[in-house]
Amino acid sequence: MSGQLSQATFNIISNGLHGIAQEMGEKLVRSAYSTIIREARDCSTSFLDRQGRIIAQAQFCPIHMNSFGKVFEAFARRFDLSTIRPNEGLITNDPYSGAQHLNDIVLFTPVFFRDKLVAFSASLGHHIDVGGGAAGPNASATDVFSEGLRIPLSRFDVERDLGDGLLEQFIRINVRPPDQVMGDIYAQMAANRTGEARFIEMLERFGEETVLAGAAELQDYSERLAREAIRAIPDGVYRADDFVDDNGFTDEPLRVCVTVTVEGDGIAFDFAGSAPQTQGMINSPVASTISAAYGAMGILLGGGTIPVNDGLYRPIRRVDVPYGSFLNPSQPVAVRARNNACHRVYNVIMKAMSQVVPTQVLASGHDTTNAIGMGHMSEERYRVYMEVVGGGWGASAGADGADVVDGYVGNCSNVPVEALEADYPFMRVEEYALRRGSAGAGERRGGLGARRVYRILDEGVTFNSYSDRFKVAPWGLFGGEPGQHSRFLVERDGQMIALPSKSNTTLRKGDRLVIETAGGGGYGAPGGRDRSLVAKEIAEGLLTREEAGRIYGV
Amino acid sequence: MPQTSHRTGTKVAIEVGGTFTDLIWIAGGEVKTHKVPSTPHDASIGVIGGLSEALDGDLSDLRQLFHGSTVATNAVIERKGGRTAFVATAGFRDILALQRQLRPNVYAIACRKPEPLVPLNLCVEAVERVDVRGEIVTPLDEAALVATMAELVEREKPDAVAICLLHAYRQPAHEQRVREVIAARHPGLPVVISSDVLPTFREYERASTTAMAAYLVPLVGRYLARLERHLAAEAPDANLFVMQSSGGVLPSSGLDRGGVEMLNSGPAAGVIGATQMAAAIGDADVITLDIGGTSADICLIAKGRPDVTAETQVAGLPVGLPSIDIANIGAGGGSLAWVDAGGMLHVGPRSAGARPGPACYGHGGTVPAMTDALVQLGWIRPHRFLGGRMPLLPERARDALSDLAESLDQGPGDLARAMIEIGAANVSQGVRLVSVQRGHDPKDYALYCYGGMGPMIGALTARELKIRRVVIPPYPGLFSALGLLVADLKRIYRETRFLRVGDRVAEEVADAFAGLRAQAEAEFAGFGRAPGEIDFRHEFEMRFVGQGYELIAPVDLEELRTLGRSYVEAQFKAAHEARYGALSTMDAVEIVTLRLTASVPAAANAMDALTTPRRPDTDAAPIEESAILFEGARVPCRFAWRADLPPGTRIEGAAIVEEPTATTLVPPGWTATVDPTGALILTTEA
Repeated sequence: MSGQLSQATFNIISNGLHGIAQEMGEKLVRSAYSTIIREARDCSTSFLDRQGRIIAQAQFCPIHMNSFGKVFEAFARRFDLSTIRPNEGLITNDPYSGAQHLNDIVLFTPVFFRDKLVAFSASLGHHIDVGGGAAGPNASATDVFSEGLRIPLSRFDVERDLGDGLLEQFIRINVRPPDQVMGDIYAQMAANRTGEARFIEMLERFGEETVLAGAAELQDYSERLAREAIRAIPDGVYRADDFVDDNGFTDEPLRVCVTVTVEGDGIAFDFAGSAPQTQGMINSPVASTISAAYGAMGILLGGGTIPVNDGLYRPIRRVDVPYGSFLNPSQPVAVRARNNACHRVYNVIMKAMSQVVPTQVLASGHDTTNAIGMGHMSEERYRVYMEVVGGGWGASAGADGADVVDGYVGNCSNVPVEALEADYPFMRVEEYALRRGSAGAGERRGGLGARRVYRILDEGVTFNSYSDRFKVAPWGLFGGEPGQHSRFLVERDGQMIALPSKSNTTLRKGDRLVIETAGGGGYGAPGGRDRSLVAKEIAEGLLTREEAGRIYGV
Repeated sequence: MPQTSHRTGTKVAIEVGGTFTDLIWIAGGEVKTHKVPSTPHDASIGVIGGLSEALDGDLSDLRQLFHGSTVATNAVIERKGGRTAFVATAGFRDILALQRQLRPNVYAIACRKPEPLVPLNLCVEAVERVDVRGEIVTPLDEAALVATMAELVEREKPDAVAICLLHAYRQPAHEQRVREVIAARHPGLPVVISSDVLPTFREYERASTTAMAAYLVPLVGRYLARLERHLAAEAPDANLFVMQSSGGVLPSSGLDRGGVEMLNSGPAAGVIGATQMAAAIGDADVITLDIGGTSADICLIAKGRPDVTAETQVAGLPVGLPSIDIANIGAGGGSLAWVDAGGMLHVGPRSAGARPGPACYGHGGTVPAMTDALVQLGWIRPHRFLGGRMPLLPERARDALSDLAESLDQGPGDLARAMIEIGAANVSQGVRLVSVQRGHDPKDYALYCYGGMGPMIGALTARELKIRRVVIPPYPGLFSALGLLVADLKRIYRETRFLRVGDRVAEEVADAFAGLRAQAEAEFAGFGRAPGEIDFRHEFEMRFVGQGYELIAPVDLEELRTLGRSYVEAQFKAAHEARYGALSTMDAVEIVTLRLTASVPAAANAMDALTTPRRPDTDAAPIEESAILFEGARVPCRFAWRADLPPGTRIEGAAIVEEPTATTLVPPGWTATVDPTGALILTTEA
């Protein structure tokens, strides 16, 4: 505790800062237009100090939240931010300038107090569409240009460039549902303004010096806790690898490999040995790769008890990601499905560390962003549907994996079927269920995946998706068994047609589109499972008696 | 007026809490109160015993019993409801387990969803399907249903059945038919259908609510039936009225059989009491602060009316019933201080609960709680706690504080001060949730503080929020029970329509409102109320086409008729701007749900009878001059007994006002004035 802050003041400022980030997030969700943000919460908010270091973030998607610092660095390199004015903002979606994929538009708003720049409020929204070659993920994309509109690192003037101004008009004409995209950008602006207003209130209440000292102390506090947690891990070099199924064009799996070096209270990650950059949309821009690694620290060190801010990252001595690998590709390769690689980044860190801190890691879950998109053009309007269907979570030393949740790097909600059918009259959901038999067995079992069946009610519907874990199953730990693979099928005229994990497919009226997501890997040998839990799952119909006998010997 | 009790009979309010059951009534022009221990294993025993004690064994004069209770809420939290079965549309029997797929803490290793009330072995499917327009796509397969139910009843022996079929809010025919089929084959098995309980869209939220309604039938339904039977025998002229989460009461005959409407009704009763009290005093804009042992309930009342939201939660499970919009914060007298691994001091949400309670209770607690800090600072005097009925052990408070303070290199007084500051800040953060975050500036509001701990923390919270007027109503510790006596008879009727607002909007909603009104009038006729006695309030739950959250816009039928579309759009715009700030563009809007609130107001003078100045207590102590620790300094402080203070009395802070159910802090710089209503009004010029 630094001298000038009392215990009470530090507590109050810390909680207040976290409250600001969370309120910004709720504001964004509540005022957004698209289903992907308003129902599925595919967005994030964060509050940063004047130097662009994260002070507080909300409980949304880890892949977004841990990236704000990196994209800010790119802005700071590109512009002299000391000249920024209160009516300006910073915007980009460019994966080659520190952002993620094109759908994720990042917006920073400078916060001024008594004419002085004191902080930045930031939000990221996953936009339902940013143009490009498909109404949703473009599986045939060969470069970033075919994935949609690129917004370079830009400084804009709110009055001049929005509304009738160039920025808004340029975006509007390049995207399929312009009102939804701009509505969501305005929701992001509103969220940032909320952060600004709350921070100013806090400054007025406690004084600038005290608040800034509190914010700095909050970062130091996280750093202290993180360093303590790292010191508790035996020094050493730990390695692991895992694979993304394929690039959507050829069959080869793509390796993600990490070497984690723990030394004293510092940690380093090296991704040497990972696959080279490749065709298609599964490359991960380096900011996403680093964000996934940073996010994994949130779980590994303290399991969510350490506030996630810049301080948590300070013990990370280096993150080496070979340039030209698919975790740090050169311009202009496509990156829309970067979350698959990001999930593997998280998976390999967990697997490597399982050797030394077995109770602080998780087996692999489905750990995929199962992006399920459909587009339908009618005279009335162009409708674009996108939802993230969850799968099984990995098991851990203390708990079964949760059934049907989003993969680690995201935290998207499902969309109510009744809302979906009201918004998208070209489909009807015929089944939404736990996918029985999909969990990896173990003393702690993995989570169950989902099964969802859509009936297509009109011609001209395209299915645009990306997923993973179709070929490389979610692995278990310490004798726990792997979860089932994911699969997508089309049932047409009594035939089952298997679809690849990444595709753009034209569907016909009457088709049944079947989505089955992977189950999580188990933890510990199945023989050690509590018999009463096995009996309960038999009663609940989650296990058949035959499976119970074969797998658990019950 | 106080003498009317003999002509109209006695009205008693009873509030059943987890630890104590409070009774409040008027007899011989005086407000009477009584407190008995609750009997959690069968709450009706405590209620019946308490009534008998209060009314000296003679219930024959009892006409109205107003009942508020945590029985329903606790049944869900403690999982004591019935063995409930769930019937879904084919393909959807897992929806209670699937939920909304969110992880509450994204960095937690173990991610656990709230445990559904119905396990999967009790979830079955009906072959049927209705589409979003309410048209039947697949007819109900009755033969399959009969077989499914026979097998389920044989195997699982459920106590109740919940039915939630897709789009039943639009077309309830299948749910109604499923209920008939079950009733014919399994007479006596309670069945609850979603289109009765919650006819609005979003299947998980509707299913969760319906399951909870069915789940409560065996326990709460039986409890209410026992109470009704007892009253029928002992008080043949008495009617039982039950508080709902929406802030109105209903005759028990009008409740859903499981009393799902009772969930979260305790805090609602307090808000209604505050609303009426504020009307009597003349405060239009009020924030209520109800702080008890473990948590603080906070509600904003703008222009004399608390917001009613469409959804609330119990034990992490959504309940889609209209509820007074109350924020809950884990801060109360029992909130414990603790230091985390990084050295940060926290207060709450961990609580000492009723047992062991704060260290100063002497029941074995060793971790300092807020109450211990208050004792250490001298704000609570050990021999006067709860009017002297429960002497505290100050040395235990000091020991607990000293142990923790040592690890922080502080003295017990410093720690106590820090705890109060953090506790007040936590409560202010809760006030911000309902005010600042929703576009209201708290400094324009009066803060009404009650519950055992509200009057103590109220003025400190007010200072942080620049609020300059704090009101402590009479009987602060019993204020929720008092609210029961002044609540309106009320029910909210809803219908989901998905109606894009166009030029014909007035005609399009007229039929639906007329239908809801006919439904309301028929039901209120059953309560013995004529249509002319009922006030109707019309509202739309609306959004931009494509948005996911609805805002509530009030509707004046006359203006709707004459202005039509432009009026509806203007009402929506106003609601949107009030909540989320100015709008950049105005796109197409839709009415998702129509809402009709039918109410019969409580007697206009209901509050007067409760706020008649009382004569001073005979055993009262005079005002004592002493001192307390305040913000690190020893300051002179006056201690007064509230019942000794006649209307018009002014006391400058620092002062402490004691009474049997609460203690009020008047900080330095504040003045307390006794209002003619008996309320204590704290103001500051600062």
